[in-house]
Amino acid sequence: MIPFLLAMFDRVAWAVRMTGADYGQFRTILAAKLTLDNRRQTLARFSQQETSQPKGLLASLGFFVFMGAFVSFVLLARVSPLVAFTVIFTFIMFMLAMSLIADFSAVLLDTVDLIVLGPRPVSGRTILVARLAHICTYLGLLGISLSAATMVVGAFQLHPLFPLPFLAILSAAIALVVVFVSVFYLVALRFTDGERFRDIVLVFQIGMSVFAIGAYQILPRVVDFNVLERVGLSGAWWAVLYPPVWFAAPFELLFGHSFPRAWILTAAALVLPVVGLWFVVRVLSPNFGRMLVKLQEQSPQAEGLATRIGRRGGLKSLLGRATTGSAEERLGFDLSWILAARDRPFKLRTYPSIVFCLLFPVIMLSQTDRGLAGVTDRMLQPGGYLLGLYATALLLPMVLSQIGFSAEFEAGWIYHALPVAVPGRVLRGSTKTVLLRFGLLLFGIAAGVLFALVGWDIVPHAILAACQTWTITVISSLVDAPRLPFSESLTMTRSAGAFGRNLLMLLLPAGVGFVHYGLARIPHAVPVAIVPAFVLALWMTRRYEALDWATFEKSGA
Amino acid sequence: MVEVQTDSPPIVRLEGLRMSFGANEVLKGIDLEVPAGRVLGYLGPNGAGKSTTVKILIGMLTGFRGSVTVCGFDVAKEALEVKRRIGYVPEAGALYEALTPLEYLSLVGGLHGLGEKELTEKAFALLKLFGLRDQGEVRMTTFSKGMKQKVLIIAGLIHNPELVFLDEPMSGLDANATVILKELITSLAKAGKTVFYCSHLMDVVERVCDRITIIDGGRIIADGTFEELKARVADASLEKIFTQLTRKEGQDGVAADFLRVIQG
Repeated sequence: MIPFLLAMFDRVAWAVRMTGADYGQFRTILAAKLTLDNRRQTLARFSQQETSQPKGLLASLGFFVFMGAFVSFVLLARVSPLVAFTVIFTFIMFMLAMSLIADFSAVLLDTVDLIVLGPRPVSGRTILVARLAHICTYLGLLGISLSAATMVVGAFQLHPLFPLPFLAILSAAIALVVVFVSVFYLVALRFTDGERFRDIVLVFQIGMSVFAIGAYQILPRVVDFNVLERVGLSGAWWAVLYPPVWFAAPFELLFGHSFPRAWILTAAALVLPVVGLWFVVRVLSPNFGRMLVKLQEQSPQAEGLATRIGRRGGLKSLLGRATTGSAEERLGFDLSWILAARDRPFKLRTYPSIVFCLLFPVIMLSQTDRGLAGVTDRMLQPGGYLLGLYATALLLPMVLSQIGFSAEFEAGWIYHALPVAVPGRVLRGSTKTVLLRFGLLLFGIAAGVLFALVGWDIVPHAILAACQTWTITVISSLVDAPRLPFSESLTMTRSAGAFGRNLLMLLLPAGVGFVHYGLARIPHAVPVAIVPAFVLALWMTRRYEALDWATFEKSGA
Repeated sequence: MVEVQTDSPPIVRLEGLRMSFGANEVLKGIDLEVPAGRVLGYLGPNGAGKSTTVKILIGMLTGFRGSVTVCGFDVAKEALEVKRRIGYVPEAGALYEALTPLEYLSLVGGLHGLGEKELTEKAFALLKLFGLRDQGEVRMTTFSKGMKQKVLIIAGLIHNPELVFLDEPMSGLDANATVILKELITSLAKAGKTVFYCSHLMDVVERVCDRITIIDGGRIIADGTFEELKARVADASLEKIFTQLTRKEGQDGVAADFLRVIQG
């Protein structure tokens, strides 16, 4: 892939030289950047957390082609070209903007190249041109992957030469996305420091992952293309403010009807990106370098951030004191509590699943024609509310398992150097963090929603399910390869038993849920079952004492 | 009550210590006794087995052969008792950078049984002494190598251990902090504590250590006071003594060859 791209650039070496850049250096820099792209963890790989092997650029592009294929089907639906292409461009522009922010921010905001290239005899112009070429390559590949299926379907369905005008309009759409993202960066950088900016980027990354996992589950059930037709994109005043409509207008002119408004929108599609780019290059980018430097500086609000943490630490030490019984447990509890809130890679690995966990019951129950009303009806059935109550039990084992991994795993030497009598206690501490920090919140949301829908009858079910969730989470960490919190490298190959464990962690909540379902049919069985369930949870939690250093060494930890 | 040091039992005793990683035998029989209240300099070229020795002594590394006694406890059987009594500053030690120094020190000190109030007071006082007072509650993400090293040094000493293992503790420290640490090592010994000091910095070892042990290829090749080593090799500086003792075949003229290669 990379040699091919470089060969393409070799063809137009003259154009690069015309900008005043040194082509040899340009090619070296570009080759290095593309190689790094190839090894970076990208969007397409967020969704497959099991594999840690880099799969390369081609794999991510394949994923985008796959996603684009779904959207291209809108061309086969019986809607006007304006509506069809509004859907297509909404998808393309959304994906481009999200991946620019989520996936490519690391590259755009990379100041390492200044350190590497700074002391070398490379002109600023060469660096700038290489940077631009790199961004254009990325956007071009992404745009073409996302719309590959649309071009094929369009060529058959509309006109054999359809890809030609489409590529032209696609370039304009990409340019507009660049303008929007630049303005976003500028505003974000103006009002934040480096740490907070990275947090903002993280929010986008999480949103993107949720979208990547869930879009095809949710969207087809929610969106009805015919609704768009009825809304009347061609007439509504607000449609003018929605950029994908601009880019759809030329296709309405080519393949649909011609009306004055479509001509105006087409003009906007062609003119505004150019104006926007000019604005970015002339007005915004001179400040950009200065903004980038700002990212590297120690954050001026660090002091404020620290006091905020100090206050929040109150809850942590309160819960820590109340629930942990030994110094080792406290270590595991405190460390997991703090790092779970601050370790960005951890958040990126777990938060999308947390969001998905909240959506899961809704998706499972929404296979009806009645939309959300159908969901509410089903929630009132035992099968429905139990699904809501046990969704947390599916999630917590995964979060707990992720707490064992960290990019800073080397800092885990402290467990071995400090007087830790029973490492299982450290593990118990982090289990308690997961239960209190994530479990309580998610379970609380689920139980709260159900309480609002069902009323007091849900209370005994919720208490029983809470005890069971606790037990399931503890079992999951006991059957997993023991891993001290944040102490193992992410690139470690998963142990052989991982598949069996994952299967167990899917079946166990389901099995326990079925038992609960059965109990719900026997009068008074659920309140009575609470006591043994609670005792079982307490007893399982004691089992961590058996995890001594010998057990850890046996599993190669 | 204080007896003459030569009569008190050694605080570290190694007998026939051997360690292998797979087929590679890193330590090939180390015998060593360190009396309490001394500063031992443990030297050796890269890959000689210094850090491995230290990790065995503090109970981090198991699977060795031979007898290892630290603070009167057999490391193979009672590693926990050993860990309670020692402090350790690792070589290039990683730490969780998302934590603040105060949080890190609380986590570490908590395991040594220090109360929260005592910990916070001690941590702030020590951070202040190292010029990190204002950074006590700032995440370590933006810290320089030297600042992180200072936090690691404090973490290794905050619980007042009787035996301290310092593995290349000067790395990244600025000149002022280096001076402080050198004085600190001497003061620790005066207070009756034992320091096991691994380093490449010959001038520091020469100044602060009562006794110097040099290992190479997994064996001790020299052991004694600086004066004794000087008498043996007949040279004036530890650096010269060290290179004389650990010199490898073909080491002569490396610098000249290097120059030749870069000149093409």
